[in-house]
Amino acid sequence: MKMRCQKARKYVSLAMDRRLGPEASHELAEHLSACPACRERQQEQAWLLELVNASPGLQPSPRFYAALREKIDHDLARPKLFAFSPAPLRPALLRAAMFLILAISAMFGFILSGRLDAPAATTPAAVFDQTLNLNAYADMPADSFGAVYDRLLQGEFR
Amino acid sequence: MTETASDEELLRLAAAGDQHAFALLVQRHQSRVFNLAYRFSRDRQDAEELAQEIFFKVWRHARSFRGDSLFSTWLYRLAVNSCLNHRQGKKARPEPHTLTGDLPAGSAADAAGDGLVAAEMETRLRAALDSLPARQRVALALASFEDKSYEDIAAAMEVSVPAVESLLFRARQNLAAILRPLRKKGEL
Repeated sequence: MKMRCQKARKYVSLAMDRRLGPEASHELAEHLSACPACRERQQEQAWLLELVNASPGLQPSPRFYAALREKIDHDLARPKLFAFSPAPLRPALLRAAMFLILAISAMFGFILSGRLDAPAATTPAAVFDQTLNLNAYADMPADSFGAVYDRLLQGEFR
Repeated sequence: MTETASDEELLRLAAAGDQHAFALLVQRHQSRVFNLAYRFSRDRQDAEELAQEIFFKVWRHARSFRGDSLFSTWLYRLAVNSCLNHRQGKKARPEPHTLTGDLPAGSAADAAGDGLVAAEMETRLRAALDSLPARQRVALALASFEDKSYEDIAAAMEVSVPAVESLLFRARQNLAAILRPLRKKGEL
């Protein structure tokens, strides 16, 4: 009994759906002939399959399509966004709307950046103030990396 | 011409506004979709509404069907998603299922004179199926009731084939574990 029971039970499930190749089927048969517990599980699965297959199929009511048509007609009657435009134009309209939103955002971006831009700094100390004002280094010991870096940024070593 | 057209052709016509083509498409698939919905919902009314919702989505998204898969694969994907969403949206109802009223007249069970036993078995089976996790139930419904291949189930559920194997294996193990005591007692 080389095959493990867990694998055999997986094979039983596959065999029920006719998904087991000849070699695997042979392996399974060998295992089942030597393992009563898996044989019992196989019989149980066969019984389950029979039980499930015996479950009756049903038909929808004769009014099924009529009710569906009512839903569709109701939906068609509702006013919709872009309803004024012919359907083939709608993707183009959506793209145009997206482009417009992007263009307006970019325009506002340019305007705001122009307003917020301070005059360019000319001295190292001014550059430091505008960009890398790292006050966190202020209280560090004079020979620490942070303090030296702070002094470097301020142009002390030039 | 329309009666012999493929599903994909009918969908293309339906997308262009051909009501007859859409009606034919629904007629071809309504029974399968309804039965799949029925395995999920708790009663006929719910199943009918769910199946209608699925076909409504077909109508609505007909234009977006690109034709890179079969219509049936696309339909089942819509159906599976709708069923899973429907299940998530509904709170579990505790009452047991009785299928007695839904058994077709003159069924084999009735003919054998043991309709009550068959209905009881059906009720217990449905209760057991209902207790499975939703995705295991979908896989089992598609494999057992719809006789779909693993590849079709994988496409409908948007998972891999080994994932389908695993879902079906676990579904059957769970179902067997639930029904085993009844089988041993001889109640099923």
